[in-house]
Amino acid sequence: MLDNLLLGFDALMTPMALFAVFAGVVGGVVIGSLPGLTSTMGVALLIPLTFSMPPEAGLAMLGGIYLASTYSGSISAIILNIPGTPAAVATLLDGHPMSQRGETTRALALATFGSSIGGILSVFALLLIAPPLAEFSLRFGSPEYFLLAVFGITVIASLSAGAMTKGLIAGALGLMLSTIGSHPLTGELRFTFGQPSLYDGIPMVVSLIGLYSIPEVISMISDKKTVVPQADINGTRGPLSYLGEVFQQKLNVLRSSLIGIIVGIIPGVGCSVGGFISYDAAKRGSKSREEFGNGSPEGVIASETANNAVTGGTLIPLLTLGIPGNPVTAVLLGGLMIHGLRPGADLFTLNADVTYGFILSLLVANVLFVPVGLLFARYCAKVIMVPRRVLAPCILAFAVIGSYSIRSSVDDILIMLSVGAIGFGFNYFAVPRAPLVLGLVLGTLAEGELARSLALVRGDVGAFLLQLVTRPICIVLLLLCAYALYQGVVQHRRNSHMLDS
Amino acid sequence: MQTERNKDILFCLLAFGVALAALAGSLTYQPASSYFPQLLALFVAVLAAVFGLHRWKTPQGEGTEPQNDLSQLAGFAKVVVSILLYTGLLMLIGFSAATILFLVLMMVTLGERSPLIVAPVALGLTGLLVFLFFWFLGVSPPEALIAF
Repeated sequence: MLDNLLLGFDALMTPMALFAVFAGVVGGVVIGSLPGLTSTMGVALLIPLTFSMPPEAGLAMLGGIYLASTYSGSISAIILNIPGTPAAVATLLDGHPMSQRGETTRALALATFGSSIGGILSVFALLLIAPPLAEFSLRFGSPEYFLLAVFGITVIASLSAGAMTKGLIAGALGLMLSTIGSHPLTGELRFTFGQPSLYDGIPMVVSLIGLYSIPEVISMISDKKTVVPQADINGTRGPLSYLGEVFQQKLNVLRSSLIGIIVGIIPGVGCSVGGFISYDAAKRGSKSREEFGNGSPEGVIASETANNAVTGGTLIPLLTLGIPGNPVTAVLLGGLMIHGLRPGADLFTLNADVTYGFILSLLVANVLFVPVGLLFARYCAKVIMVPRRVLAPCILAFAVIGSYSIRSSVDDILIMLSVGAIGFGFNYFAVPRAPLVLGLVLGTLAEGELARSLALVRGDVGAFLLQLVTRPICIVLLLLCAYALYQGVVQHRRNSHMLDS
Repeated sequence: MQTERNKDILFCLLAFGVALAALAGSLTYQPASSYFPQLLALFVAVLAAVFGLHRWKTPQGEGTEPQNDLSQLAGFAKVVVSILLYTGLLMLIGFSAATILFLVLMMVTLGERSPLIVAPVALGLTGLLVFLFFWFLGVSPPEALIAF
């Protein structure tokens, strides 16, 4: 492997390849921070640009966009309470409250360093243990996927501490919203009201834009409060000074990276789920749980470390088995094939220079997005100083065009507005929004895999339940679900007791 | 005046209504497609009913400022109307003109009177959005009735 690494290093250390990484990182940081622009869009857009480049440079650019855009969704999540990408939804739970109390630079720095470390560790996993991890991912069948979705849903209990019943209702409503569109197995259209734009369900990015930007703009318009003075934007403490704080949370960072890598290698699960599961694990393991949801640095580090660790994890089944785990890696697979590279064992032997060059470029990208992201975020952070009467219309314009651009459809603007109305309603009734997002993300996976599992046993519910208690991975997931629910109930009772006293 | 208790009860009523509507709607689908939304609708209906009854029995707490509620609802109405108008303008006069008009009107409505701020922000942001989405990303602009 050392020979291959040296070959890869040689391939990477060319001006073209290094420039490609830099361009990919810059593009990714910009794309990911703007709500409405997605990593998939960025990668798909730039593939034609890579035709004329050598493969190692072209792939390096695409990898840079993927990593940087996954991270930079946290910038708008922290500053504006609007996630730039689905991966950043868990980050805003604590990132934005930190910003509201004047710690924007600290939140952005923790998110940046956490993302970088999570990404670097996942690339090491890709380098060192890709084949056995890929084998592990093949053991996931429909029952395992279903229980993984259920485990993700149990995180709702943790996300709704203090309002558990409302959180559960919100989560269930999110699951119900995910049933809009065609059934994953039968193809029957449900709750579409004859609208073709709903045949494929509610687009995730459109719903995120609506759920977070509309209530935020309404708050800006109706709230008479002034902007919180940001003591740390131009203060003496620079972002680099917070690196030590991330290293002090070794357990949190390592656990979050591990969660992200494991979630990443399982195709179809996604960065946002990795962020939520890691956030939940950090909350359970924390000595100051009550801070979570109110601006806990641990929460920001946990979610951002995990969601960038997912990126490396998703590349493991892609490169070893040719299985793309999410839309971005599906486009990356297209990019690989365009450059004449076929995933599998040959990729690591016959094309070792390009493959290892690509993997090393991911390491470079994970380091490079730190200065690029912090510099970009420093200027973005000044956005909160803009008067609300100017900022609110700008956010609305972005929201409208961002929603339209996903499918070039005006109907998506109306879908965004409808989900935005739900988000406003949730704010008005003090219902947490994160469980709704989780339900929306996991609903299709849960229902689809449940339907497949039942179809595999010809509808025999008893046989299905037997599978859940006899398959090893299912047993582990069941225990995790039970533990998560128990912890959620204990936390809820503790909160109720505190409120009573 | 809306207390937190009243808001919770209203939320439960709305959630119960949505659950019943979803349950009724799903009865028309084949069993393989309908069992999942039906289970969820029942779950939501039961939770909403239980929580609503629990809140009904608890004593009234302190109320929120009625002005705060009204201003939030007014803000919601403003946002909905403005987005619907913006969408209509998009289909009528095209993206650039609609966006400039929308930004100018919204900023003025919200209290920004200085043309030195309104004009550059409206033109600059419109230009940035056109460059980013239609030129760089290659998104096709919405078709307009009247081309500018």
